[in-house]
Amino acid sequence: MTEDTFSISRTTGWGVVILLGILWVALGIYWGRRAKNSEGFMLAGRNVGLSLGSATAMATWVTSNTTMLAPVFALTLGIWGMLAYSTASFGLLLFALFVPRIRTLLPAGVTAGDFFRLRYGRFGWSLFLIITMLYSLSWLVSMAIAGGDLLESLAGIPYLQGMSLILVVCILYTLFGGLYAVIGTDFIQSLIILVGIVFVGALVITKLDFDTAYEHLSTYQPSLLQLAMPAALLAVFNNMLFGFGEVFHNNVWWSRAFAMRREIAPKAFALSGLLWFPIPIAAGFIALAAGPLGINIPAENQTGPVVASAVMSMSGLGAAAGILILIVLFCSMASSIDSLLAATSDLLIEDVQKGLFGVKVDEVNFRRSASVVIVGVGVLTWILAAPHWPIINALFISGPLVGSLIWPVIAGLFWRRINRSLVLAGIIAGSILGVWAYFALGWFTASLVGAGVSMVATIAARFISPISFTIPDKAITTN
Amino acid sequence: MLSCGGNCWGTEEIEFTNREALESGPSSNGTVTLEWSNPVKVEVALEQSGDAAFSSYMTRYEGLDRSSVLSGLAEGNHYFRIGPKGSETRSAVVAVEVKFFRRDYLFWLLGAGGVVVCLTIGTIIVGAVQQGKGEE
Amino acid sequence: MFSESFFQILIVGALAWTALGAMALIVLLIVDWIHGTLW
Repeated sequence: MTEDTFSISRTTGWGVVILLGILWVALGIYWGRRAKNSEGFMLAGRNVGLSLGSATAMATWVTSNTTMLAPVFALTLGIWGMLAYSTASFGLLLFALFVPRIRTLLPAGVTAGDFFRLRYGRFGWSLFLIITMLYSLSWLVSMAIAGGDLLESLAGIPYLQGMSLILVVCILYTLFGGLYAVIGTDFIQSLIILVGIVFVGALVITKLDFDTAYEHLSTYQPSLLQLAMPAALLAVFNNMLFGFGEVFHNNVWWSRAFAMRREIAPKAFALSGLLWFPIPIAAGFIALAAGPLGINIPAENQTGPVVASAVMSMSGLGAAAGILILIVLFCSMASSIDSLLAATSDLLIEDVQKGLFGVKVDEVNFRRSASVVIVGVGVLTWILAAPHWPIINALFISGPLVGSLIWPVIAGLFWRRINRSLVLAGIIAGSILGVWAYFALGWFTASLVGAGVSMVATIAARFISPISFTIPDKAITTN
Repeated sequence: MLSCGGNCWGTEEIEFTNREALESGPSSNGTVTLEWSNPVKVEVALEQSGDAAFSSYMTRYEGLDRSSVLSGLAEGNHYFRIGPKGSETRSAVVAVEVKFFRRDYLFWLLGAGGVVVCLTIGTIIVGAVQQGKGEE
Repeated sequence: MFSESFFQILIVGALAWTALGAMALIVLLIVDWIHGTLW
């Protein structure tokens, strides 16, 4: 093993996470007082403004995958690798176009489940719940695992301890503050992420001579500059569709659409997409500087931290490198974990407990009930993360499943008449064929197949025996 | 410190440890991770050439690390060898092939993907515009 | 091959854009705070 130039002591690792954790939990308690009822807790009073709205959407979409994988994409797939990753922002930009319609269709809407129940009945709603739970849980668990891995590789903290610490911090402040806490902390975390990326990127640029760098890349790493690099282009549309499926269906985004002020919400999502777009390039390009700057990368998955700390050492800031990396990555994880905890708990309370089982909770007992559900989701996450299974594979396999929901969402929002059974058959066929494609044709085809099959079925559903959506096309309540 | 007469290190000690993995199949993206042993802990020199005879070569890495990720390699065969820096002795050459995804399959994949993405984005935009008009 | 100027513009542009984004968020926060429209 190489000497990790970015290592920090165990005490420092614990210290940083606990200090930040105390900050988030304190803010969670403080902001949580604003939540006077269930609507306050789950939807932050439906009054979130542009700054907080944009920041929360952007920060939630920046996961530790973004900050850690972007350099790996740049290193292995070059310029097209970074550009392809940036297209993940398109999902947020397109969701901005959905929002006005969502608010018109469901003015008292609480979750994405409300929409699926409304447009596709109990069966469609159940399909949605199964798919979204699979996807959300695998995202949540893989974030928790990444947290444990991070603390272990940076500070030598045993995996189980580090993973538990990060999860407990996120559970606590979500518990105490609901969506107010999630959105408030997301704003701070988004600034830390952006400033961290700019700081390291700027340091790299001061060390880099673009002429020499370009020449080095052309000589030693020519494929990275290729206009048509197959490995990079292979997955560009597949990953775009995966991203669309993730954003269009998931309650993390729908809850934000309901939480923001009505006229603000489309702008906030559009702005969040614009804010997100440059991040894979700004965070990733440092990997392209490694060769020209003579920085050796001992293992692919260490690309970001290795280059960042090498460059910081060159600038005399070596000691701070590990701490900076830990803070930025912890913020990336926390901003996603808290959103997933909140959104998944909302679904369980509203759609499963109330919707499917008819167990309504009155306002007086709501906070207690919500706390139980949030802790329950957290415990389930811990149980699935503890054995350190490669859950990230479950996340990738969920690509065709969420991809098959893209067109049903579009049709349900914008079309008046549809053959509902055909759409639902499309979801099932898309999911099954997509998963088959994942193993038979390659991971880079799965979401494309899932989305494509569902698209064909949904378009057919518009023309083959369509029936008007049964609920009148005006304001509806969710009860 | 070592004190020994003559050659203190032999190339049998500095050797690629993942040779089998490297030679088992081509790399589809031009990235290879070379790993080697360095029991005597001297600075090594990693060299790359376009031919197995190493008639001309480039030095890719010099230092104490025991692995290196080399990316962006062009399609074709690449040869690597490693040895102590400053010495002439080198390990046996390891051959790595880089072979990209077939261009015709790529064309079809991009075509299909492009169609689905364009239809998706187009339908969303049309739907949103129509809703906007309908609500005025 | 991507040209050198594209390479440079892409990287510097992305960094500048990211920095601008952070500043925009702060400005928007202040504006929201002044108008009482934070949340």
